[in-house]
Amino acid sequence: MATRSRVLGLAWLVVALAADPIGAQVPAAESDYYKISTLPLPEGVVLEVGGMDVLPDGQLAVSTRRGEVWLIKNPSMTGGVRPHFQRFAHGLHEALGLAYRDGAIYSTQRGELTRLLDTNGDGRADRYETVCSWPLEGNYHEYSYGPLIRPDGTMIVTLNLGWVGYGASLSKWRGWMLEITPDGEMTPMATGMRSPAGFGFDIEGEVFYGENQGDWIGSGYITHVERGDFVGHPEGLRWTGEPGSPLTLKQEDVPDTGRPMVEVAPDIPGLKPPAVWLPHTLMGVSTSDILADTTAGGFGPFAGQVFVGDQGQSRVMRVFLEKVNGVYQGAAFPFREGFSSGVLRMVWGKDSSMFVGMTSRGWGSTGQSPYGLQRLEWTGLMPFEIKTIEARPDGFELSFTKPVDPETATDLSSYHVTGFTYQYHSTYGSPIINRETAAVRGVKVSDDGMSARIAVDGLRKGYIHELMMTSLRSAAGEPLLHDAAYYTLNEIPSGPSMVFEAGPAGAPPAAELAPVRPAVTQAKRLTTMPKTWTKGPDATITIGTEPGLRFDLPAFDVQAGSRLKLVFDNDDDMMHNLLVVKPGTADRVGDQAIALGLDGPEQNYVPELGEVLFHTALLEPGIVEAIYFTVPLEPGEYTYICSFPGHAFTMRGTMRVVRP
Amino acid sequence: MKLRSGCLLLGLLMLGPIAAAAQSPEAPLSSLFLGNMDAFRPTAGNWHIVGGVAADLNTTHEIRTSEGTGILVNIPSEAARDNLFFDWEHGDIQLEFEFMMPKESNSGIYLQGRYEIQMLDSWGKQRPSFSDVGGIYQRWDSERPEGRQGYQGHAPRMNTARAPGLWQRFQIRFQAPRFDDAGRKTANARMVEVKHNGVVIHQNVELTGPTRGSSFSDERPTGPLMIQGDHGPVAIRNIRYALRLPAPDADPAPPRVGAILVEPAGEPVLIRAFMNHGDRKKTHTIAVGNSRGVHYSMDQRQGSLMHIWKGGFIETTDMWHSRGQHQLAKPIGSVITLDGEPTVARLASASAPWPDTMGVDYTFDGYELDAEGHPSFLYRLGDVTVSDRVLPESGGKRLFRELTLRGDSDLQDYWVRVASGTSIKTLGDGGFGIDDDSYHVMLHHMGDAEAVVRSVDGGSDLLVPLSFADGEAAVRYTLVW
Repeated sequence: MATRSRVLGLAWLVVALAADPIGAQVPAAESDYYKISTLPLPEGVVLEVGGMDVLPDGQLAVSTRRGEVWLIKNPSMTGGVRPHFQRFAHGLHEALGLAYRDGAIYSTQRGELTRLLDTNGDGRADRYETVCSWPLEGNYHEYSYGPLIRPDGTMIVTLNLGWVGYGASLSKWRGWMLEITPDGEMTPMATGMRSPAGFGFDIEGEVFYGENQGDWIGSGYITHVERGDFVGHPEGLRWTGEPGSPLTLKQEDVPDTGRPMVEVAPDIPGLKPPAVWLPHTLMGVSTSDILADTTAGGFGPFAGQVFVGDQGQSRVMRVFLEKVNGVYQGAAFPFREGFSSGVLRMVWGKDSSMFVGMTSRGWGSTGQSPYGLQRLEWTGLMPFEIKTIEARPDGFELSFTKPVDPETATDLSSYHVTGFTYQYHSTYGSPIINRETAAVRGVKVSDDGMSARIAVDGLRKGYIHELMMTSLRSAAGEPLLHDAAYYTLNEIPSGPSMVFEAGPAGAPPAAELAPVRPAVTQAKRLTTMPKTWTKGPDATITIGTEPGLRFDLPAFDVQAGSRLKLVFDNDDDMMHNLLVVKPGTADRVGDQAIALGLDGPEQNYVPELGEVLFHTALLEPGIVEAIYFTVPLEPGEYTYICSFPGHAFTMRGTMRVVRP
Repeated sequence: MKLRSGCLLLGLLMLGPIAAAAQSPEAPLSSLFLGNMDAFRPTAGNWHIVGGVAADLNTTHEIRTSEGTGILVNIPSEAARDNLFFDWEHGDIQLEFEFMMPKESNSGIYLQGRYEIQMLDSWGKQRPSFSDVGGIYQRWDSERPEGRQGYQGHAPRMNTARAPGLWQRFQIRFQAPRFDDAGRKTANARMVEVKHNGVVIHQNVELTGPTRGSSFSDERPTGPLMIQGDHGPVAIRNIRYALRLPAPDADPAPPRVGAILVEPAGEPVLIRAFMNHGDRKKTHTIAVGNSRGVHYSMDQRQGSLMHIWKGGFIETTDMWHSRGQHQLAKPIGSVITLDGEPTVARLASASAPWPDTMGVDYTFDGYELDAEGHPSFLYRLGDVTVSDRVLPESGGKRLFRELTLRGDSDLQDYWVRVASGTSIKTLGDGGFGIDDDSYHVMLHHMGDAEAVVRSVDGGSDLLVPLSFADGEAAVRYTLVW
């Protein structure tokens, strides 16, 4: 989708500018504006990127999951010259973070923060100093990340929860963000983290961290973190009685109600809701790094905004943040997809290009490479994008990267706003709940066409608001490069409402204001054995999972027309479903599942297609579901897939239907 | 003959369902009585039953014995150097025993008197061949051209030999050749699995015929075990066996994941990982391997040695493949497991128990690498700073450990524990045998400090008191195994 050649994109631009712009049908591609190039790795180097930083001389320092640190000279490949890789250190324990300061490279290992020094100047570390160490239980999910170094030299690290069928804080300070001085003095800063793989400063130096969907986490998000915050997952509260804890909140103070976080938060002192939600599968599936655009325009029109990586969908998202009533909130936008592996780390090169470090081991990603290092450059061309979305007392103010076409921009039907949220509970993930359309009542476009203010009825405080603007056009007739945005409305500002005349499209029909949504029934999911099967099923097949987005059964044979009981045991630590689809249709079904958008979770990510024959529900980790069906009479190689967005590429197997 | 077939058939019918229900049940092993020589055919007198044996690192072919029972020993002479045949025959067999060899000695165990697994002092050999300990010896055909008479030998996967004078262990699963009613061979004999000192050195090795030195030129369904007696002294104990093999898994899944192995080629390699120490998972460990093939691991939380081993270095499949559910790094050589408890401690009295963990006054500061890449571990215990390094010695046969400790001259009551075990035997010249000669420690000269062997709670400690009179103390010793 994002892989069209630059030549084609440029050709389209020429056409669009020269000829009738409205008639131009070739859509722009992300690659027209942001170009990905790949750093070739020396053979044998397993560069599963865990951490990255750029040294003052422009060298790129990379730590890996296998515990090596590499120094890469000429990472921008200036002059077409190959980058040079020098191994600086080795033997670290899953080094998932790296930062440079004052001649030393700091890296966080599972059990400690380490300072690496090259004292004899041979380009290789000869001192591995333990700055601060913490206990571990020995669980694989006990990852440790960082450091993020404050201007005063204080280092911030985060400690992942373990996984034992749920997120568990099995040793002290798991689920916490810690601050550590260069002398090794550690102070616990905040808790409530589940899987805080990425954190960074915004443009003003405030700390934000990214969270991954799981138990208590309905969807990924980024949250502003200050000392004493509780940001959502109760497990880390286990340690609030320990000396040094800035919180006194206890696990039992967090009720497991299934209500949205916005409703529960007032009763939980210190609970800080996300600044910006990244709706699951619509924006990303596994939040990773956070990188503020400090390039002052060198990387394009988004200076001061924040980029957020996504490991599972191999993409980088964009977030605009603002502070309303003292609280951070803002909008998330798609930005660039198509990276070769799972995006874990991002860092600015000295030339304002973004280095993207990747790994997909154990969790799989849309990009099929197991690991890699890529570079993202702005081509200098201006995409047509929503640049910012700011909350207003009665709606939103949008700014654009290019002037909008007055006709579509003043048409109320160009704007669709839908509010929704997630459940806050111990269950893994959440469906989209309380989804309601908010009616757009008016619009006012600025004289220069660079912004538009919309008045919206039915804004809900604490809710995510999807803004969909598919039919909006630029003055040159281009559609938006990304037509959707997700604004998290923690606070509604006060101030005057806008004055407008109802647009020509008038008010939307009443049905749209309060949609009556039929309960979803899915006829292809039969979870009780048909009464007519008096002798039971002819065969029972049980399928589980393997780490890395795979079923544990690659293929099985079954007789045409026989009665099959198919048991799907989701023994993984993320959500999956299982769909049996017609031969050769797995890719299409997978794509259509992604296209379900906000409807996806409710429909178990099962698109309504003839190609889909049978399916389970979307199963949380540890859940088993049996479905019953009569095997098709037509012999052939049917496919079973997980259609959860991003999984269908690897998570599939073959049901061979054979003649009896 | 007919009756016997019938019995076998009945046995199979009865065993079938059980074998299918429980995959690969371990056959219970019987111990061979070594109170006398009744289990063996008579020899010229070179084989005896004794109560104790000892051999040292430097004396060729000398094994010293003491009276008693439980150990079978061969001390050959010109006049008496018979091979030893067991007094019964076997087909399929599981066989385990321990053996000790003096320097440069040579023997071998012949399954069915025909198929030899070599026993040799191969201590420290970098690249073992079929003729080193654990090797399946070559076959021999004198009709073949000069230089090619020997064929089909199988070197062990790695050299897991222990030093002369230490007890070693073989665990063998041998499948006898199969024959049809006409006596034609239908399946070759097979070393299903051979372990040496706990390490798998052969799996599913097919034997096309008797190896060199076989007592028989033919192949048969059964034959007697034989231990070679004409090449040098050897002691053997704890012989255990079962005359059947565990039932193979009826429908084994093919392996899907290749091993991820780390082998040092040039500089030493460090791996920080979770490692099992006994049945406990240690979370802050550092394994250090070197190209000499002699490796160790540290517990950085205790300032202690956990394991020393030879052979391969580390398998990291369980860390580095997919999510690595257990996250364990596993030594792939033959491992000596040490106590894993603090090396340095302050004791209230010379008889106070040794602490099993470091207290709050312990801090691990990291390590520095020397010019060759060997780490010195740096830690603090109260007012004492410690630099702790371990280096390969004698071309990879042993490890040398040096602790350099610094503190004020008036510090007292600090000790280094060099070794602990169920037994510590004084060997003289600074040598000590730990845990019934599992490994030896050679203490280097320490000036006036006197090492102390003490018994505490049924175990023994080898302690060195520290004096900081010069502001610095050092303890140096060599681990031999």
